[in-house]
Amino acid sequence: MRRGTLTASSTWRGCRSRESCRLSVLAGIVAAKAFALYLDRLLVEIPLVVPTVRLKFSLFGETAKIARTFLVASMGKAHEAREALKSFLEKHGFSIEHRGSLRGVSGIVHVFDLVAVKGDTVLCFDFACADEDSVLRAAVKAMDVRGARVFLLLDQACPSNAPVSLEGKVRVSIVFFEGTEDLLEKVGSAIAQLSLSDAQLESLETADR
Amino acid sequence: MIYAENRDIVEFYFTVPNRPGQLKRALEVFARYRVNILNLSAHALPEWERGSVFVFADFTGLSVSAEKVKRELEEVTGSRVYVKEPPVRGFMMDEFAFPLYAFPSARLIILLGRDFQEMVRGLYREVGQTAAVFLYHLAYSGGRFLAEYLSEKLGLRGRELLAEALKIYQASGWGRVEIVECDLHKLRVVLRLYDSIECEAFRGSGEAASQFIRGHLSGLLSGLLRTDVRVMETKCIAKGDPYCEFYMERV
Repeated sequence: MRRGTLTASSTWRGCRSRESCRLSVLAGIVAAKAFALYLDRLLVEIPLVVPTVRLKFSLFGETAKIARTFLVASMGKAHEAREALKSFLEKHGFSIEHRGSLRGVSGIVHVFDLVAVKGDTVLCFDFACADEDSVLRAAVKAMDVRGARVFLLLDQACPSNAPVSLEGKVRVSIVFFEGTEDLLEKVGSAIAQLSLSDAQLESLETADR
Repeated sequence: MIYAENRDIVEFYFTVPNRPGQLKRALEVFARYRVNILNLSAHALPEWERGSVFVFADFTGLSVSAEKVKRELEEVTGSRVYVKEPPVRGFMMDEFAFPLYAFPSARLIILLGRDFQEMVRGLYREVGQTAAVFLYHLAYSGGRFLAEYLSEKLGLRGRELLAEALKIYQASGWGRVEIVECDLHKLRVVLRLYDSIECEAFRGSGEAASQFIRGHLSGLLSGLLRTDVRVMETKCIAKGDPYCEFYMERV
C-alpha cells in the first residue's frame, strides 16, 4: 500500500484551494488504492505468468519503473499466449491443467504452467524469458519427468542469453515465439513432429522385431 | 590429519614383512624412546610380502630426534623409512598414503563433513530447488554402481547383500542405516538413517532434506533389485524428527 501513498502525494502538489486539495487527496487515495490493488494482483500474477523472472531489484525507483513496464507487458502477452495455447490444445483433444504438477523419477514434484494430457501423451509447457536459469530449470525438469515432453516457451521480446545449444542435448523443446499466432503455429508444428517421430520410432521398433 | 597445538608431530611411512610380530617389532622402536603414537594405520592383503604402516608420532619435549628413530626403524624393518615434519607446528597432514584404497583395487576419497555440506548448500544457493534433482540423479548412478560392484565382489544377493551394502554408509561416515522392514519380493523396504550428514546441514528448515543420500539409496536398491525403484523420505532430522526414515516405491 505504500506504493499508493506515493501517487497521493504527487496529487497534493498540484491543488489550488483547500477543498480541491481534499478532493484531490481523496481522489488520490482512491486511485492509489486501486493502483495498489492492481499492482498487488500483478505481483501475484507475475510469478505465475513469468515464473522464472527474478525480482532482484526493488519495486521502487527508476529501475523499478522500467522493470514494471517490462513485466506488465510480458505478463499480458504471456497470459494471452497461455490462454490461446490452452484453447488450441483443447481443440486438439488435450485436457489441460493450469499450474499442473508431475512427479519426476526422483519423486520430486515439478510444477508447469500448463500440462496437457491426451491418452498416453503428456505435454508440459513453461513460459519464461530466455535466461539461463529458465533453460536450466526446464532441462532439469525434463530430465526428471521422463514420460512427458517438456516445452520451454520463450518470448522473443525478452532479452535473450539462453544457451540454446542445450537443445537436442536435453529432452526439452525450446520454442521462441513473437506473438500468440506464432506460438500456436510453432507448438502445433512441434507436436506434429513429435507424433511423426513417435510413429517413426514405433515403425522402426516393429521392423526390429 | 591431526591438529595438536604447539606439539611436534612427525609422520613416518615404512613397510614391514607381512608376518606375525613384525609390526610389533617396529612399534617397539617408538616405545623404547618414549615416543607417543597419536595415529597408526597399517594394512596388507594376505598375498602381499610386506604391509604398509603410517604413523603420526609426538616428539614434543623428547631428546631423541626423528632421524635417530628413522635409522633404527630402517634396521628393524629392513625397509626404507620416510619421515615428514610439518611446516606448521602441531598440524600434520598425511602426505604418504596417497592414493587411498578401500579394497585393493577400489580407490577411496575422504571428504570433510562440512566440506560436503557446503557443496550441497552452495548448489541450492546457486540453482535453487533445481539442485534437489541434480543431487538425486548424481548420487543415483553411484548407488547403482555400488550395488553391482558389491554383488559381484561379495557374491551375495537379496537381503544379505542389502545388509552388507548399507554398512558402507556408516563406514564412510554418511550416517548409520537400520533396516526397519524388508520384504524384497513385495518391494517393501523401510530404512532409518541416523545422523545423516546431508540432512544435518538443513536442521531447522522444517522440510525433509535428503536428496543426495536418498538418490544413492534409490540407485543402490534399484541395482540390487534390478528394477527401477526410489526411496521417499517420510521423517527427517531437518524437520525435527529423531532420525530420517525412507520407504521404497516402484518408479
